[in-house]
Formats: sequence, C-alpha cells, structure tokens
Amino acid sequence: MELCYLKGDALDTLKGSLDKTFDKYLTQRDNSWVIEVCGENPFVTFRDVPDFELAPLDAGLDVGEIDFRNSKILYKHLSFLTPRQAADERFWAGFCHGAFYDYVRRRWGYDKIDNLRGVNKDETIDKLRNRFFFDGGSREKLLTNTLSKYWWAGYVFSDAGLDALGSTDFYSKLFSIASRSFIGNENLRNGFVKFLKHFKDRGITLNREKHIQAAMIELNQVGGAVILDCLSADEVAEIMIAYVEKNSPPKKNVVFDTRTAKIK
Amino acid sequence: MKIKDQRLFTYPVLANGRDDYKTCKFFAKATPHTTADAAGNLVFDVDLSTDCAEINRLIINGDAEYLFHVECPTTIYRKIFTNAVGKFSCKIPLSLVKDTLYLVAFIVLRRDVKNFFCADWNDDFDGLKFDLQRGSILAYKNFETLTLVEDPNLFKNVGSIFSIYRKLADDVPFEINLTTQKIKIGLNAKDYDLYRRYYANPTLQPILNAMIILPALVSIFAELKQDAQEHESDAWFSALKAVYGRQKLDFNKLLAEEDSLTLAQEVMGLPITGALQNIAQIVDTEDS
Repeated sequence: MELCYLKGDALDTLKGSLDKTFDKYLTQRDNSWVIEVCGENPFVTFRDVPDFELAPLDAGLDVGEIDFRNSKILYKHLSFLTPRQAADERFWAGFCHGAFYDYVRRRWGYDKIDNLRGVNKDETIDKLRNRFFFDGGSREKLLTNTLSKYWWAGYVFSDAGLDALGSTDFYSKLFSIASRSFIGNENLRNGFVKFLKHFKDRGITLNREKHIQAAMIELNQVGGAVILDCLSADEVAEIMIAYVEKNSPPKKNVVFDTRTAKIK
Repeated sequence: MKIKDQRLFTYPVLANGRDDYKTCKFFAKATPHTTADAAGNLVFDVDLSTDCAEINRLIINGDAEYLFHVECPTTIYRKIFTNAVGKFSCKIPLSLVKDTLYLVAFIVLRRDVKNFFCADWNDDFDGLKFDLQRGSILAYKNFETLTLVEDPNLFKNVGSIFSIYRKLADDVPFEINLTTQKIKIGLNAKDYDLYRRYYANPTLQPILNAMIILPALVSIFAELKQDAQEHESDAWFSALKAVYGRQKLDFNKLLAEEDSLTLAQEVMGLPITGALQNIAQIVDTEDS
C-alpha cells in the first residue's frame, strides 16, 4: 500500500473550498474529484507499507469495537511514524483523501446518503473539517480526525493500555483522557493505565464519568499542590484507585455461565 | 504547563510576579542551541539559581532539586529534567515535538519537609511554618513559549512561511489567511494554475514574490501595527521577528515606528529591485 500525504497548498485548497465541495464527500465514491479541485495531483508518496485492512464496517461490530480494533491495527502498521510526523495534518488529510477515502466515507455513513435534501450544509462542513482534516485545539485535533485518532490512541496507550481501556464507550474515554495535558508524561500515563488495569483485572468495568473522570479530577487536584510529574506511575495509580474505591466503589461484573447455569 | 501568578498556594512561593518573599530571587535562564545536535536533539542549556539561603540549604541537603518542565501540546509530549545542580543540559528529540514548546523552571521538594520557614517571607507569613509534601513547588519561572520554525532559511524559500493555495472560483481577488503556522494566500483558480506553472523558475520567482508576497506582507504589517500581540505566538510572526533579530534590529520597535510598505520591502530585501532586474534580463535576452 502506498501512503501519500497532501501537498501543503493542496491541503489549503481542499480545506478552503469545503463550502463548494462538501457534496462531493457525500456523493462521490472515489476520490478522482480531489485531483480536479486541486488542478493537479495533490498527493506525494511518503512510503510503501505492506497492505493492511481496517476493521470491517459491515460485520455488525459496534462503533466502540471498530474504533478499538482500528487503534490497534493502524498503530501496529504505522508505528514507524514519529509523533512529529503524526501531528502533521498533511499526512492524515492525505490518508483520508487517498488510500482510505472510501473507508472514511463509509465509516461516517456517507455511502448511505441517497440525496442531499435534508443535509445541513454548515453542520456537514464542520464535521468534514474534523473528520478529513485537523480542526480544534492542539491535542483535540489529533483525536478528532478519523484516522489520526487511531494512531494517537495506539501511541498514547500502547497495546496493554488499550486492552485496559476496553472497547465500551471507547471514543469518549479516549477523548476525555488523551485531551488532558498530564497524559503527555510517560510516568503519569503509565500510572493511569495501571489504574485502569487494576479494575480490569478484577473484572470490574469503570464508568467514564463516575469513575474515570472523577479520578482524573482528583489527580488534577493533587496537581494543584505538587508537580504531578514528580510522582511515580505507582503513586499515580494509588491516588486514582484509592479515590474510586473510597468514593464510588464500582461493582464487579456479573456473568451468568450458561453451561453451569450459575452466576460466576 | 504555565503557572499563573494568580494561582493560590497555601505557602510562600518564590517567583517574579509574586511578593511572598521580600528580597530573595529565583534566577532562571534556558538557552536553546541554535542548531540541533548530530542525533537530531534540540539542546537547552539551563542555568537556575536562587539567593534564598533556606531554599539553597534544602537543595544542598538533597531535600529539594532544580526541575525543567517541557511540554509540547501538539505532539502530546511532556517531560521533566531534574538536577541537584542548577546548571545542566536537556536534550529533546526533534522527532517528538512540533510547533510550540512550553517551558517552566522550578525548584521542587524531593522529600516531604516539616517546619519549612524563611526569614525573608512577607510579613503576612509572620510566625508561620509549613509542612510540605514531595513535589511541592518552592520557586518557579515561566519562560516565553518557544516556537519551532520548520525551515530557518525563510526568505530563500518563500514556501516556508507562505503557502499559496487554489481557490475554486475564477476572477476573484486573492485573499490572505493568517494561521498559527503560515501565512496562507489564496489565488483564484486561473491565477493559481499560472502561478504553479512558473513558480519554480528561478528567474520568475522574484517577480512573482513582488506581485504576490509583497502586497500580502504590506497588508499583514498594517494589521500587526494595529495589534501584534494576537499573533506573537504564531510561527510566522517568530520567523519575521527572527529576520530582524539576525540584523540586530528590534522588530517591535520598528513595527511601531515604520510604515508597513517600508517594513515589507525591507524584510524581503527590496523585492521590486530584484523583480525589475529579472524582467530586464528576460526582455533583453528575448531582444538579443
């Protein structure tokens, strides 16, 4: 598979002309219109990588499972990117308009749009800006582009961290965690993964707001008094685990074993 | 990370914008090397010290240490560098950072400390002593945000801070968009296609720059004269400032004193002259 990024001026052209081209994203099955709009081939070959496929969109998987699987797949195949490269809009806009154009369209259900009646133009343009390009604050934009969010999820959490995070409510959890500034520090990040794993290993599913968000707020409050970065991963995990266990102890998942007809 | 001077601490903290200490100071410098090292690292020489005897005693005893905090929100990078001695170097791989770096220097506690007291504290703290936990901030200094510019040879390659893009409409005027990284100029489709056909020709480049970049810069300087603060953290602003800095000129002072047309011509190295010379060269070659 040939990975291409967009030339800088082509990126500006595409992003700057969404009010005239938004309908093409919704109706055009292939990306040949992109060349037409840019007036030349806007893609620059970056690297050849072995072919890979993202999670199937028509296999009955829920959105969380699709995002979860894609984070693993995409990071595994593109782990050679440096964070500097992976923070470059040209790469992800290139992938979204190039090799993965059809996938990104289908991911957002644009292939199911029969006609443009009832399509809200402004709302669609806003969404296209997030999904095919970068839009928003420094960290947020990495986490809203359809493909870059998968890479950054894999980079920030690694394989074990993704497993601890789990696929349920995946994107909301990812966004609320990875958009926090402390997650950039490796110790703090590892501490956070230990906190997730602590409950996962005990068969306990954490609620995003009640447990994860609340524990992060607690950690932030600790950060009001000390430099959080001075804490070890174990200390971070301890603070968060203690807070959750004291303030809203989560319940263990109840599993009914159909073979023994007993609750595990 | 930035520490706001309005942030409330439950104990005295030594920093420039605060009056918790009467006379003591925290001296902090962080000087980036102008070029990356052979391994592609951005290197900072950090020089931190204080004249507060009590804090120095904590450092000597190993209860406190110097800390340099680096954060790049664009690449979700955040790292601390700690040292018992105030002078040290920090290496940050350029592959891990992009656009901007937030830098803060601290003196922090390495261990819990009981009965912390300093005779230089403001009278509000008279008679008080504090039990502080590990990681507590004793002193801090926020540095100016560092903008990482992609290409140092800015005006040799016009593409570096300017980006020219194609508008879909024909027969409309060109437009300018100021983004955090670049000055973006949108040409109508016909103009853009002609521009793309000729922009790589070195003889035509000065002419195109005089036609497109010069008026754009005049307009930008006019805007900066009104309000430069809004753009101070933008990469292109830092780049413009650096061009003047290399000539030992104060950009902000010139911005206040000179008109935008003069500023634009100066920063581009008198582009009209270069353009006319090249037109003469083209026409004379055709005639001969």
